[in-house]
Amino acid sequence: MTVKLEDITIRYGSHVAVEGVTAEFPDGAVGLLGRNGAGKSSILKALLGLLRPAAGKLSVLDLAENASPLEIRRVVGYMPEKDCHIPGLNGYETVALAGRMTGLPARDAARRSHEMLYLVGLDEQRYRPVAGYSAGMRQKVKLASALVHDPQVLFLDEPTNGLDPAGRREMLDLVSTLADDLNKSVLLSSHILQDVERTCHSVVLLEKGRVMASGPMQELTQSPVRLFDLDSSAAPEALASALREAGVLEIEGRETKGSYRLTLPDHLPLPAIFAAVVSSGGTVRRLVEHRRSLEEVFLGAVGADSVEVR
Amino acid sequence: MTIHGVGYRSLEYQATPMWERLMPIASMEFRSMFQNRRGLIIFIICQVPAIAYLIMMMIILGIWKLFGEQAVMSGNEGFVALSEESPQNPISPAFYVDQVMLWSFPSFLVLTFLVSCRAVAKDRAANALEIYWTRGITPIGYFLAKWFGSFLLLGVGFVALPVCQWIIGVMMAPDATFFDSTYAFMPRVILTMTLFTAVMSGMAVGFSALSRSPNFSAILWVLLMFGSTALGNALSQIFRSQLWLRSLSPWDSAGRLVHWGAGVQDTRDQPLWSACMVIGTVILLLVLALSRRLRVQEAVQ
Repeated sequence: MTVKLEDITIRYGSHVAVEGVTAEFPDGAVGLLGRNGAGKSSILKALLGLLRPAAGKLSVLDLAENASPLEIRRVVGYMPEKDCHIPGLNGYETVALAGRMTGLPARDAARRSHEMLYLVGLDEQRYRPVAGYSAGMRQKVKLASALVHDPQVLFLDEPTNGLDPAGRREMLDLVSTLADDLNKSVLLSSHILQDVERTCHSVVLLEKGRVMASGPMQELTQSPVRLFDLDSSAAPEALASALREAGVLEIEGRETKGSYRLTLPDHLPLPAIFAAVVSSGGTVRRLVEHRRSLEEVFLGAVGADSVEVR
Repeated sequence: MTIHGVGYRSLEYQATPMWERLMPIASMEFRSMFQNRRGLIIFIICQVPAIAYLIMMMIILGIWKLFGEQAVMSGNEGFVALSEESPQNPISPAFYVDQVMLWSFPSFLVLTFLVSCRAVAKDRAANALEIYWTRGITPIGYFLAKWFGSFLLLGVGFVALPVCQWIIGVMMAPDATFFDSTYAFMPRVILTMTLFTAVMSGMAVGFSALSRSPNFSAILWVLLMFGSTALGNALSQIFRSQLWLRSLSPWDSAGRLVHWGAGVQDTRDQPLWSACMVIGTVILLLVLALSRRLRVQEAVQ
């Protein structure tokens, strides 16, 4: 377990940003998903020791619960949400300075700065002032700075903020690389459903400072009933009759001609569907289990008809 | 690897101590004046008082015979011929103190305007505080590093160059008379000037932490320093019996304390208590304001 929250409450004066959150973040890429103001950044900042929770316990990796913020930051790399840079420095200097401030010796910081900028694809621009970088390049510098001291855990706060589609794709590819190929534990805070869906294996859904749902993506997106999408060349009436005879509970026609969504009882084996389609004089073009999108999961969890998250 | 097929290497390292983590920030602050030719030229111009005093000392010591053998008193005769209390005499502590207190106010304003009183404000404006304070340093460490960098920058003119003048004087003097006449007060002068530089640079850096705009902070600082000096001088001229009015200026108050600390006669006669009160009040107000403005929450909201 990378990060554990137990009954965490975070307040800003009288405003309660996070209330009684209990969650566990396993290894790999985990999404912290919620609308703006749901409490995602507050949780990250509490984990970094920048905010003190009003109640509850936090633990990161195997560090003691009362570990100092400086100890935590040594094993954690943090990429802030805000557009930020250190004035007057170029990309190389920025990343090297981040390394030195985390405790890297000067020589290691210099070497790692070159390596990390190469990793994120900024090797050609490393000696240009960061103030002149594009939004995407600045995001990459922040990511390189978060990685410079080789942390085991990465907290990425809205890493695709302000990026164009190509930059966003590139950033998400990098995040996937970090989690899947470099075995980093990534905690990705985002309000963009597609970003989390694309990169994360697990997700924690936050709404108004509370956890609405959490778990592995596979489990969350699994339908409570057995739903299958069928594409078939059979005549609709004959197919519907054959499927009902086979025991299919519900047949719903889709927008595309020849596409159906089937609700199956628990005991019905899939070969029975194939047999029914063949008996109706058609062929099965496609038969796949229907999984809910993260948006559907989110809507179901927060009990809303529509959401601001994209 | 999906984008760049580079081998990521894990890293084993022994974490450096806190002071070593802060040094790059101090160094960055010090070097910020020398990032372009214009900054270097301005810095050299700011050292003109110290350079002028060095030249004066070399003439007085007879090292430079600008006026021919007849006109110049060679060897130790130069400084011996001047009164021991004369501020132009290198064997007087006033020589080392007055070159800063009387002539370096414009240099101080220029250097603090360009560097010290922008130090934290420029980071705040670029949202850089969140970068600094989410690494292995604390806000207080960050502030101290900025202060130290600024102290070094001001210290070149206010401490290092006067000390260099003295060392050159000792080395170039024909005998040990110069050293014998100066070694007793020099540690006190150096200590006082170091404290003065530390306090004034700390004030400037502290001022920079109060604002989000580096330009606003710099202009306000110069107005405050210049304005309070002008006001203090004007009021003390009008109300001649109220000598404490001169203490309205932090620079003049600090100057009074420096003269007292270094054992130099201060011609302005402003009371010591008023100087202490002004400096103490400014420091107290700054500490109170900074305790709010340098909280981690300020950076991460």
